[in-house]
Amino acid sequence: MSATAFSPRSGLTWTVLRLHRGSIWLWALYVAVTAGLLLWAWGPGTSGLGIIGVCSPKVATGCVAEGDTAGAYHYVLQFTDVLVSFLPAAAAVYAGGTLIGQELERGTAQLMWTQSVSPVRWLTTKLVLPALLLVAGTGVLVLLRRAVAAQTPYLTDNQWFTGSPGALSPVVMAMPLLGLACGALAALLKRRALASAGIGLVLTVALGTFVGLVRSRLWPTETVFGSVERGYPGFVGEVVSEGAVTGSGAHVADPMCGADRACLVDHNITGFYTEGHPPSHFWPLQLVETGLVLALTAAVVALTYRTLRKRVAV
Amino acid sequence: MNTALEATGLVKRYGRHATAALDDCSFRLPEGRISALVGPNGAGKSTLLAIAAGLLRQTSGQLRVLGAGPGEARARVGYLSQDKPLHPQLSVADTLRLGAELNPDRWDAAYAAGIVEQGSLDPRTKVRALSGGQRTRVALAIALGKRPELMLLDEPMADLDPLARHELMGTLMADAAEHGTTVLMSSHIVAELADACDHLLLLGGGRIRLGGGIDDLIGAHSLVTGRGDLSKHTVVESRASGRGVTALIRRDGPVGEGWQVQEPSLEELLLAHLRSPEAPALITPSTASTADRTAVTA
Repeated sequence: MSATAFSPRSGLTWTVLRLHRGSIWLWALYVAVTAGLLLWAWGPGTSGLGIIGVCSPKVATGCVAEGDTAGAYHYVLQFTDVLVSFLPAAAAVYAGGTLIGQELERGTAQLMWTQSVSPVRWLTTKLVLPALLLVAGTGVLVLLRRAVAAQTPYLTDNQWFTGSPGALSPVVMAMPLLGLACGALAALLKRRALASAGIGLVLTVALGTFVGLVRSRLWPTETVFGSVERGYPGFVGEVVSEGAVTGSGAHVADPMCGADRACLVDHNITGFYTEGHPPSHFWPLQLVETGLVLALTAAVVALTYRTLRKRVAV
Repeated sequence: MNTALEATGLVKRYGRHATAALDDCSFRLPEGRISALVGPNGAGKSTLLAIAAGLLRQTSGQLRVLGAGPGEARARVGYLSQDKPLHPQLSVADTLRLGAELNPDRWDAAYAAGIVEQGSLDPRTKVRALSGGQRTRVALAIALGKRPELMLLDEPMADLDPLARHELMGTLMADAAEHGTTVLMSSHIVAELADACDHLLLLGGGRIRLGGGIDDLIGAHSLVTGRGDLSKHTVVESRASGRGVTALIRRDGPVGEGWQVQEPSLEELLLAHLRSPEAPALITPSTASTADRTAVTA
């Protein structure tokens, strides 16, 4: 296959870009608006902040932001964190479920397959092009969000374990791929635009929730202990679990004795523990989580191609 | 003579326990024929055409399209179905460009544009604004612009008014005559088929009931009226008429005394076979699949 086969100005690539011009413009608009908000937070938003307290990696909430732009800065970041964390995956479900399901529903997919285009090549193009656009757009936003966080790294809004972890992490760049694959699988199974988007979304949310449930177990945690007298140890980072320690060293639920010494002795409590991920676990945790999302994506993509191959001659 | 389409024991079942749409279907369509594909609703016509076009996978059996597997010869096969799907948001010009982009090695832009121009269509019109006849014209331009060697037509003209249908059939047949394209078209309009086709495949119960050149098939049958013994012939259909019977028979030797013998029309031949699904199949040697011919020889 020659290089021109992948040129945006010709062939199947041109066709798919031309067919979904409207959706591509909408995506570009979303990326531009969100990038604009983040650029504001990075520039004028940050320079208008007055930091009160001591910002330190050793203290979770050592400093707070005051100043002219503090309120707007906080709301812009909360808003963009939701936009960056969830919208790309939703857009991806639309690209996989609706855009592919609609073509199968209308029969225009069959129109393409009766030209000189095999169904496998058609599906690959319908997956690769949105995947590139989604990952590139989301990547730009994550980089900008990280640039904003790097300006005042220890503010609550900018720490992964106190703010929104998603917008700072490569996981949100992988989630659109999972959404796209789930949408495409639903599209091939249902061959309906709306039903496919619905089923694709449910599947994406289910798999995303599964990843969310296991994510804190994806990297070994650290545990710190406190004595009976001093109570819970201080821990900066993401807390996974905490409770009491018994004489045998077992971790049990806190019996909630308060200062009641007799109660503690009664329950054989010899100390307290906090288990979690310190700030330094950000990259190993996020990379393993990204890997898990990509592995799930690969499995769904394989199922999608299998479904296509069962239905048509490829 | 080269083979455009050859089925061997082709089976297609929709769902595991459903009755088969195609059930051990075997035949051969020689190149250059314009063949009608006829059969009652649900006989498997659309299924056969969709498998040949590479849009559907058969359950078992084999189908060779222009000497390749279905789907391997996409570039050389044209397909047009009744729903004629087109992208509604594209203009006519963009739809033609789509044909050019997706058939890079074969596209004849001038020819496709010519078909559209014959219908005096403005290339800037959006597909969603076109009438049924105009849409069919654009779909036909896409299908013929790739210069197919085999054209598969699944009742593409069924929803058109007689004038538009006549015009577009004319375009199609002129193309086939000029380029020697093999055509397999399903239709319920026998008059249209009788004008256009020189070959016939009659599907019933998922198999070929009649297959061959139309002249050969008509020549093998007689419409007889009278009284007497027809037992040495194959009687496809017979019914009482006046003081005797009128029967459509497949002759085996001369018809005896006392019978008035006529050549049946294509319509009479088709109707008799459609009304008598239990009549034995007749497939002329040129239309029998290679496997079947080998079996006969042995």
